Amino acid sequence: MSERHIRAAASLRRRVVHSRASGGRLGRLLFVLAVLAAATLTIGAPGEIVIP
Amino acid sequence: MDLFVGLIAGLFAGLVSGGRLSHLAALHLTYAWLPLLALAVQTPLVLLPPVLPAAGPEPLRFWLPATLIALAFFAWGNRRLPGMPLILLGLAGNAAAIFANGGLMPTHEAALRRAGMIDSLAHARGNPGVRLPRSKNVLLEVGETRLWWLSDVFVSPLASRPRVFSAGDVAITAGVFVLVASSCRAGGAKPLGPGAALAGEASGPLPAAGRR
Repeated sequence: MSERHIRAAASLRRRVVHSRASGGRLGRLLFVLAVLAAATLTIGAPGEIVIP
Repeated sequence: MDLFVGLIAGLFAGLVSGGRLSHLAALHLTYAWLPLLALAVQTPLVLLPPVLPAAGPEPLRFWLPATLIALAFFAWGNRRLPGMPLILLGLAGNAAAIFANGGLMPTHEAALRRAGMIDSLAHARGNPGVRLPRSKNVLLEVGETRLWWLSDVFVSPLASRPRVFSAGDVAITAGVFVLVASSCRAGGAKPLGPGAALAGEASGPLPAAGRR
């Protein structure tokens, strides 16, 4: 395998790792927002829940 | 009052003041599964038609207090997070009113009238003591309501469709606002409640969270 191939493979690996980290961060953010929204809805007791 | 006002306004305030969503993503919440479980239990029971006395007891009269106890563990476990003391205060207020009045949140005729919830009022008059449709509320006279000042006596001026809400709901909304806004700015805040060390080790700092 040439040096060019090795560099291309390393670059691809970095991009995969970055993509996974970004996806993980987005997933984590959505999870935190979902937990806070669920806590707000369940602890709060407003009258008549309206489904959008 | 739209309960999501705190969440949305907190996001806005946090971002405007130089915070980042990635900081909020790094928020460590202990017992984070409890609110999701409570939502899964409460939602179908709230949306189902109210149970008439002849058909048996209203299941929400049992499950609403039960989920509030579970949510108290969540709020207590995260009590060191900014805003969480306000959420705890709101939970205590709502839970006190609900526990003192048979498992549902009391509301009153004047509040329903001001909110324009005429259908709910008509339903409640036809079925005294029965839960109002799509809500955790029951209509009671102010005189027969224990801790009436903690019940749904206020009417939202903000929502497109006015709704009744309690003093506890105000504290919860304020607490969520503080929690979200300060988490966006600070990031990575960790609770010091029980299990916090384990939770922190399990999820780790932000980059580790992306390595799931």
